[in-house]
Parts: sequence; structure tokens; C-alpha cells
Amino acid sequence: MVMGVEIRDAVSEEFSFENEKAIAKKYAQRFQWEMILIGIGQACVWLSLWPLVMYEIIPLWIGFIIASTCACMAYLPSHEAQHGNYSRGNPKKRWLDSFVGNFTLITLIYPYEILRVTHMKHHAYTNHDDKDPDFLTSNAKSVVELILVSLNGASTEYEKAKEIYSNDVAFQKGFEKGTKVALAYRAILMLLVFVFPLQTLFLWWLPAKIGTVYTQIFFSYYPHIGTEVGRYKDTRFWQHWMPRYLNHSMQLHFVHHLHPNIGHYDEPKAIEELKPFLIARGVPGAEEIPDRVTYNPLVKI
Amino acid sequence: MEKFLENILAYNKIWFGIIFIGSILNAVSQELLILSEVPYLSSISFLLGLVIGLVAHIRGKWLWV
Repeated sequence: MVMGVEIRDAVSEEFSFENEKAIAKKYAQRFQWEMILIGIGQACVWLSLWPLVMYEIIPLWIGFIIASTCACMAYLPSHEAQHGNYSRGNPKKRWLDSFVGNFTLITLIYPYEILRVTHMKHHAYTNHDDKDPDFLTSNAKSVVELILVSLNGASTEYEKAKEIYSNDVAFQKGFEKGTKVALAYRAILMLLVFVFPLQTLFLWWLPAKIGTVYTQIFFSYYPHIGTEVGRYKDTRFWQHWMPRYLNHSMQLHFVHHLHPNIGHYDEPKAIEELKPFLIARGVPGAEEIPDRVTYNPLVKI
Repeated sequence: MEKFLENILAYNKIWFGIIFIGSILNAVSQELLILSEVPYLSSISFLLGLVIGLVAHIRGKWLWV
């Protein structure tokens, strides 16, 4: 049983879940130092923009471009933290998940704990219209609709999730913790905009919106569009004109849904080895996965 | 305290409208030379922010989706 769903072995023993898991485990060991560097790094760069813009060392428009880039890089390090991929089950290192997860999200103005608990539900109930907190964005009718949904704000959807999981004590506890951070963010934002209106708009609010739209397009929409419910059916391999280095390699997001503990930068190697399993299990788009994924930009025009 | 916060949050779109959008409109309008002769510019900016927030509060969403 995985996530409450029984994995039926309709495939040969060679491609059993146990064998698949053993391969995945090999790639779920390494310390994710690159991701920590990106998370802490982008947040520090973003923080440094404030004095640089205030003292007119750089113009506001350059600050806006850098802040938007930082915001686009902010989610993934938190995402690894949400899965405990820094501590790797070591209780003594759990602070690292929490620290990186919270710190990197400053740029996006999102509370880590709310993202963590709702993301766990997204994994458990991917594509379930009532239980998947990401359903609206991952099943939007078009990119334009997704952008509008995203710009409308996530609070209504998260409130809905809070109601649906009202009996889940761990979910509620995480949600309450995150709500306090969300309130603190809101208070700081209101204070800042009153004193430094244009700087707050162009260094924080607008970049955070751009980062959120970027994240939802590449993390939620493209990997799940047109997919169904089921462990091997809910996320797909996809390609388009953009080299994967510009969208955090979300073409490979399907392997993350199968084995969330595989480190992000270890996914290409893991996919190369798991490819026969993915084809045997009928993962959408698996036949199109190239034999060599590492260093492959996966461009398709 | 919790009740107080709940009351504030119940009108979060209105607060966002008046404080955030109002401040932005005020700052932008101060930069526009064309509006330099307009009286009560700050009051108008914050009032407009309040109206935008109020409309969003009544509709329950900011945009049309």
C-alpha cells in the first residue's frame, strides 16, 4: 500500500514496486546542499536589494528584475524541505528543513507550514477534485485561467482545505502555525507599503506574484494537465520549447510524485534507471523519455 | 485577541484595498505631473483603494475568474 492506494502488480516481477523502490532509494540519500544554497542565496540577494535600491546604488527597475528572478527560485528549496529532504529522517537535522523552508519563502510571502501541510495532501490526493488543494491550478483550462486563479490569491483554496481536513490534527496544527506567519507577513507588508510604497510594490509584492504564477505554471499546471487519478497516472513527462534549466526541470516532476525523497538534482539519473519501470507502469509520456536525461535540456519544438 | 484578529481578517480585502492599493495609488499619483493640480489627491487615492477593496470583499474575489 502506498498513500492509501494498493499497487496492483499487473506488471512482471522484474518491474515490481519493491525493485522500483530499491532503485529510487539509491537516489534518496545525498545531502541536498545545492538546494540549500539556492534557497538561502536567493533570499539573501533579495534582502540586499532593499538597501541597494533605497540608497540608489541600483535603480528600482533593476531591483524588480532581480527580485522577480529570486521569487521564481524561491519555492523549490522550500519544496525539498516540505518533504524532509534535508534532514532525511534525522530528528537532529529537522531544524534545517524548517529553517530553509521558512527562509526561502520570504521572497514569495508564503507561510512554509501551510504550504507543507497542503502539499502533503496534494501528494496523497493528486487530481481528486475535492481533496487536492492544488486542483484548481493543476487542472486549469488554460495558462491564462491559471494566471488569473493564481493572481486571485490562494487564501480561499487553503481555507477550503482547512475545512476539508478539519479532523486531521496534524494538518490543523501545521495550518494554525502557518496562519500566524501569514499574519506577520501581511502586517509587515502593510507597514512597508505605507512607508515605501513603490519599493514594496516592485521589490516584494509584484515579484512574489510573478514567482507564484511561475511556480504554479511549471510545478502544478504542466506536470498534471490531462492526467488522471492514480499513483502512476497523476503526473506526466512533458516537453516544450523551454530548456528544463529554466523551469526547474519540472518535465521530470512525475518521478517526484512517485518517490518524493529523491533529491531534485538526482532525479535525471534516477529516471534513466527507472525508465523501464515507468514504461511498464504506463506513466503518461514515459515512452518519450530520452535514454539520457542528465544534462539533456529536453527541448521539443 | 483571537476574536479581534478574526474580525480584522474578515475584512482583509478591504484593509488590503485601503492600505496597500491606496498607498500605491497615492505614490503613483504624486509622481504624475498631470495630477499635480488635483486637490485632495492623497484622500482620493486612499478612497479609491477602499472602493476597490470593498468591491473585492463583496464579490469575494479580486479578479473575474
